[in-house]
Amino acid sequence: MDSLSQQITFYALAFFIIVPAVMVTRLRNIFYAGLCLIVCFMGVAGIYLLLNAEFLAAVQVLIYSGAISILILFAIMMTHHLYSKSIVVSNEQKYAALVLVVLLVSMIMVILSVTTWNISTEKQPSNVLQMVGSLLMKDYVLPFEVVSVLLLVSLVGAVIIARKEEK
Amino acid sequence: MNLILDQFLILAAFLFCIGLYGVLTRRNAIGVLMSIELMFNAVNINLVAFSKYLAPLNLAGQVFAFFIIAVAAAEAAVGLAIILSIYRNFKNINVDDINLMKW
Repeated sequence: MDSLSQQITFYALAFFIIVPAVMVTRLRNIFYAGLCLIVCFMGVAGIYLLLNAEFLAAVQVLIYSGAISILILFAIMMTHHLYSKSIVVSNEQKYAALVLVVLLVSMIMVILSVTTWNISTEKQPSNVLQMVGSLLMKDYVLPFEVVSVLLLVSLVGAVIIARKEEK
Repeated sequence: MNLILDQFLILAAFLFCIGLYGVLTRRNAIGVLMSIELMFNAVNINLVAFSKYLAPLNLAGQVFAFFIIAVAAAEAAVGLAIILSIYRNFKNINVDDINLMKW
């Protein structure tokens, strides 16, 4: 892809990330907010494709847009009568939070503008997926196994917490 | 003009701050959880961008992004289970109203 189309793709993806993200935090209907979350996750997957992380993009679509979004939408549907026209979306810290967030963004911008990154000139190898796989199985095999235990524990824990207590 | 690192970092900064705003202001507990997912995504964009631009031969950033996705999935499962349990007991999931354990 040439550089101009890369730029256009980046800004289109940024639009499809930022606008749904704002809607996630502001929409009155929490179900629509959940649908916006899916759009946002797909945009992030596109950003991963721009960064040559194809497998991560596939994982993002499968796990975030697939699994986590469906989990959230099911939880919304189980508590569905809680959204209505009259419900208040934000609490009273709304303006304080806005000030804090704007300050944080401007601080990050200032830090980025004074930092010079040590950009590497090496080209990324073409067999990224192969290298990630060997890293996971060699250097990071212990965290890999610990994560599998964590997933098992959270699965069992979620079932125990969410089931009905027997009287 | 090729894509540069700062563009990705600024995008991630905006996404993180929108997520933070949602965490601080949403009253619905599921909304808070969704905003936390936005923040996870911002961190992942940062990790992958740093991995590509600063150390393209060492893909540790991508590997850590995988771990974050796995931990986020576990967090979402347990968090939603807790929210359903709270809903069953209180008939309400507004984080302002659930102050049973608050001093």
